Amino acid sequence: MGISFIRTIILYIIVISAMRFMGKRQIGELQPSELVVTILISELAAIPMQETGIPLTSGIIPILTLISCEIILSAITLLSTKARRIISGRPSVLIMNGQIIQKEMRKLRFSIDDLLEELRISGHMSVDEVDFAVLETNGKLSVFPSGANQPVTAGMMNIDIPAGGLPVTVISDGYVSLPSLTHAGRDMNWLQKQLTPIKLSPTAVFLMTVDSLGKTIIIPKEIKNNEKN
Amino acid sequence: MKKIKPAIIILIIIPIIIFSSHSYLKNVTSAMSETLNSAQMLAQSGDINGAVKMVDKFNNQWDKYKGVIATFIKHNELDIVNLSAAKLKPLIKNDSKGDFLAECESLKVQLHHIWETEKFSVDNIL
Repeated sequence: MGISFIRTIILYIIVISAMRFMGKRQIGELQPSELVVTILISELAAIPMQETGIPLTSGIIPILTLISCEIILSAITLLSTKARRIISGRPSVLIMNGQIIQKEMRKLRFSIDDLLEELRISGHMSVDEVDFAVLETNGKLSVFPSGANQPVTAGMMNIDIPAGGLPVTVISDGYVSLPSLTHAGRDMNWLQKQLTPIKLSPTAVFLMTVDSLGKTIIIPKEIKNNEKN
Repeated sequence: MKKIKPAIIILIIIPIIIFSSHSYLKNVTSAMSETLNSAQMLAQSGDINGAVKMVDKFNNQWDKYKGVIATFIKHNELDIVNLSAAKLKPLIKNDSKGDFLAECESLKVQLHHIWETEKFSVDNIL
């Protein structure tokens, strides 16, 4: 039991490090080869965790090999378009100019139900609302609505909206982030000036953000019932 | 792209570790098999004390190497050797020469098998 516990911790650290080494991607964004490697790693880690009679190295070496191969393969696909086409495949156009490309759907074994489901997920009730639909190499369907069904944008309305920039979190759960404050071009004096009028100390703030236009959002911490009493 | 160097280094280091472990296994199992050969020859010539000394030598070798061997061989393979090695001394001390020789032979096969399982061969790969 104790051996399994220690092995689990070791393999947990290795698997987490390996996944971080592979890079940030969510399950839905994985390429087929990355998905296969992720599943294989979990399987490889599970065997020496349970079977204490199997050497730990028989789990670690395949994990490191797979991760290294995956990184090298992804580097090759970055460098070579041809390799990228072979390994990741090509995006497939399923709807072109409002017409379903049935031959392509048959080739991909993509049923009309799958297509309609994906269109509904992207907010389109009918095929005639869509100009183009492209099945990406990671299995996601990109849908481009026809002109009449496109949402109105500020650009279409000739409305000038100033860019607010990325809001920076300066206080999170009562903790002031000095690097974020500096990044936002502010200091503690500015922070005090923002909080004093509303009678809050930094520790009483749950979230405070500021964007490049100076717009601040302050959410005070909720007071627990026993603290009220 | 900055991760490609560590990935290549890992892919170089892993075969080095594998080849080193393979070479280590070959050396230690050969050394232990030779000790068993000597023990068999001494037992056959009637030198029981000499055979006991060789068995002690084998046990010391096994105790010394089994920790490292356990890092790349399934532990049940080592348990077989442990059980067989434990029988050697009582067998030779109780004049069970035939059983002793058979046990030595069985141990040699098991040690060879340990090395064989890690050997780079088509049989093992397939």
